[in-house]
Amino acid sequence: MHVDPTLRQPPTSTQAVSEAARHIAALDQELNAFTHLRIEAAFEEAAQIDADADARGRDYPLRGLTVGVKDNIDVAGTATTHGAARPFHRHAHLDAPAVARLRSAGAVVVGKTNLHEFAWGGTSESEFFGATRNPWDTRRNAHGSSGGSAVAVAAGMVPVSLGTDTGGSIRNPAAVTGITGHRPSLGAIPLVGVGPVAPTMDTVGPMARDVATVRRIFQVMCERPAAASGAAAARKDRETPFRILVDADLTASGIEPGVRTAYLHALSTLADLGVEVIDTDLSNLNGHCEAWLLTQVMESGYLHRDALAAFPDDYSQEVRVQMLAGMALDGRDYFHVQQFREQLRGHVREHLRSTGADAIVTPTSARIAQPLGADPLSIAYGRFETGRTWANYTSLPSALAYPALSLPCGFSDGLPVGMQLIGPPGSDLELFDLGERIQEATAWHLAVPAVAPGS
Amino acid sequence: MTAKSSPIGTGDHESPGVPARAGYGVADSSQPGDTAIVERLAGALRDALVRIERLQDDAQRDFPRPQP
Repeated sequence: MHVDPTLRQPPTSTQAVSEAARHIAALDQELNAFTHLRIEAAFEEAAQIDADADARGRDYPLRGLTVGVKDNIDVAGTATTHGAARPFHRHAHLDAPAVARLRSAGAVVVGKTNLHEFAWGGTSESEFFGATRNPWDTRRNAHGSSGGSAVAVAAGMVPVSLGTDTGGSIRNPAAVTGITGHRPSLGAIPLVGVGPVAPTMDTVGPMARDVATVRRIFQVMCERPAAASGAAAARKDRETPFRILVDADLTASGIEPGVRTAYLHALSTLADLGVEVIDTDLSNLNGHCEAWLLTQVMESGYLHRDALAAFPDDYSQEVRVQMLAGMALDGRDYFHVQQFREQLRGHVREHLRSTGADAIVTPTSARIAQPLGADPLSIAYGRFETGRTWANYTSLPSALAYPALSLPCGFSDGLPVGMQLIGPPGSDLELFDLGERIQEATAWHLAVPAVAPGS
Repeated sequence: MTAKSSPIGTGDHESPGVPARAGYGVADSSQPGDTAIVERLAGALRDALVRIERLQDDAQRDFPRPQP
């Protein structure tokens, strides 16, 4: 394990783009994190930002940051591919608002990042763009669907990426590549210009090495940044200890032993830091994984129904059959599942209210990064067939439509393990506060793979 | 490149939509080799629905219904 303690940011945009271009040239042929690069345009934009800042005094709060954008999010002047077959590619004439806000603040987009087809899967091994490889072990994938965004950050090609998260697509890749990933509250960041998967659970959010950077990016992209920063300042001054809920039974099965060991060790570290860890019975949240998957297949099946009927051979079989399975269910089934999701929300509200807890904490992924070539269907449906799925834990905030933050929390077999902080809607800043408290006192997030620059 | 209609609603932020079709579903869309997999996955989803039903609160199951 190598440690990069600097997390430094170049002083100018031109230097930042130059560094990103150099690292991408050195690493991406093997890792395949990017579907499309726009280095020349990035240099032109960086020069303009530097000139505006140095000669005209314009303030760019994100000057010196380069960004990779998941290729289901619009960046003006580039194709949005969705990781899908060529007929689905669209030339974007406008930035998605999330991207536009970052660029207005001085961040420079250097490329679009690889993903699982239509953000509908957990391996980021694209039939159309190839597999993204995990920099910690290039024989393994980076989970998904935002695998390219995670690898671009983990390997040090860019300090920040944007991903999308429906059932864990930011948090899971973040966990298995050793970085920090944030699933925001629904509605905090607009989804215009972002390819939908399941609209009642879809989010777009930041991925970076540390919580402090994730917070900066979130506050720039957020609909109400002024309110967000005010709340953040207030919470920073808290004197009461953080209180978290955990459920030992929740991690008793369906999780790799090494992941569980790392997670439990991280919990004991949190307790040593003064975090109040309450072991409680969360068994009335059982069914969350089923509720997530049912919602996702039914909503995505509905969104894709006409295109799937007209052009079925333009989908990979893996994605097509999942959508078709969802289309075999009907509106009564959908209503039933949404009613159940509301029941889950009621249980969580009561858990948090009755205990005064700030967050529920779980592992992020039940597994370390999987070998390349893993069957994506067995990963998605493993919960029902073998008791294991990559979404065992990430599906909880997805089913609830709650925000969550994944942080590095240790290693298993030399590969990163993540923990997930889940809070109620609007608690993003409190989750950052807790995450920063953890990262101020630990070094898990500073570990980088051997291939990364500075390692 | 001939642009096909897309469900994804990006590009210029206006979904071009797809031509309305009289019907869609498994019979229209599946390809050779899909049927067995779709049936397996749909069976898993139906099992999941049953599990959710069992987990639902009694209060919700007993939601009052109008008398005939």
